[in-house]
Amino acid sequence: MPRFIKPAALAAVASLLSQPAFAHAVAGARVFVNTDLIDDPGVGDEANLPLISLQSPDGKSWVTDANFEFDKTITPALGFGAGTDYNWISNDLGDFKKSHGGFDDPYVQLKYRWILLPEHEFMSSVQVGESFGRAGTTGIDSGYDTTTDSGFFGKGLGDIPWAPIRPFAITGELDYNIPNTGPMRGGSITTWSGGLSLQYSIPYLQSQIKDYGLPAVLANLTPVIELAWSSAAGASALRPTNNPTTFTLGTGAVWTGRYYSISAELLWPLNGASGHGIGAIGQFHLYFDDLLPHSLGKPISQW
Amino acid sequence: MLCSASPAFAHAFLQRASPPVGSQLPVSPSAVTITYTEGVEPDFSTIEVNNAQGTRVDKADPHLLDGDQTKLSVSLPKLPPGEYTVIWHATSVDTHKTEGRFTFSVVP
Repeated sequence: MPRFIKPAALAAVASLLSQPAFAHAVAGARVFVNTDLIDDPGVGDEANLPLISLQSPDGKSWVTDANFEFDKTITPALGFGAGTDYNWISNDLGDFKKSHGGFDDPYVQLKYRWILLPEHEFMSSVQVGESFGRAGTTGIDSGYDTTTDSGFFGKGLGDIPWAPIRPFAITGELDYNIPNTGPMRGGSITTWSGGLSLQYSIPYLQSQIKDYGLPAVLANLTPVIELAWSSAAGASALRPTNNPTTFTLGTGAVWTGRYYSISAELLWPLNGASGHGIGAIGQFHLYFDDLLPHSLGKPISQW
Repeated sequence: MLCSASPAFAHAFLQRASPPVGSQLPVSPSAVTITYTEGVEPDFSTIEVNNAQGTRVDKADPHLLDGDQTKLSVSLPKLPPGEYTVIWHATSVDTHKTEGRFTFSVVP
């Protein structure tokens, strides 16, 4: 969830590092992997344990963010999630005493997959989320709640009759973040955020196009490029210094196993407001629908 | 209750196939066999083999190979040279549904 109370660059980094919810999404023969900078378009029974990232907002201090989130399906197409982040801010890597940390705003969200076209490897979902300000650690959390309306899509290219590009898939997310600051406003502004991912699925290549007999360490790998973005919305955009536009590129890969996935990406800030220097992000992700298919991993409507 | 111990299963994805995905064969195979990453329910899982014209050519007898729930097979008649598309739908033993398709060729 975005945090607007912090200095702009720090807020940009913190916002990037704490994108919530990463669901297990299957559309026909396509599995959209859980990416690190944006959410995938699916609804699932899953957890981030955790999603950890490290980036410097100003070239001097470092922000480490550990996101913990649990997602639960109510029906196969409707699910809810809850989570929070623990932030650790190191102002001087050589002096531990100059560091401080705490919990950011806890949040909840409700997500609905409204389109699923297996034959075209396409799905789309919508989500509404609420983060609760003043519920984390003072100085880390926000002073107000934020409502976020989001839309997601995923499209596999497997239905295109040209084999070299069929393993590719594209996913996207668009968020409208509304701080609920009341009549005082508190200087907080509405923002847009989101991003795109380009994925090359080696599992798809092996099982749908040509089996090259790759070892499991490669056969389960999906290289990923992500572009995340955020900017002020509406009239707020006229004051860009208050909330500058940020662009961050993520390059890495996701390894998907039977019950979990592991991902790692390098983070490349594309402008000064997005941070300084190369960062990193990665996660350990559990799939409860496969791990506990008869209990926690199935929709509540089927209990 | 929620976290009670239960057998762990997962989505049944294609692990390997015979003939291999995207392969070229000098002779007609006698069957298409798919090995899944998890066990499947044969009554709710299918394998269909179509020729280049879209006509189904398999014997429509999907069955487990040697009783192994991870291996589903369908018999084939002798196939003339050409490209064939295998379309599969699997329901794993924990009821997750998956699907996919691939081609193989019989070359003269």
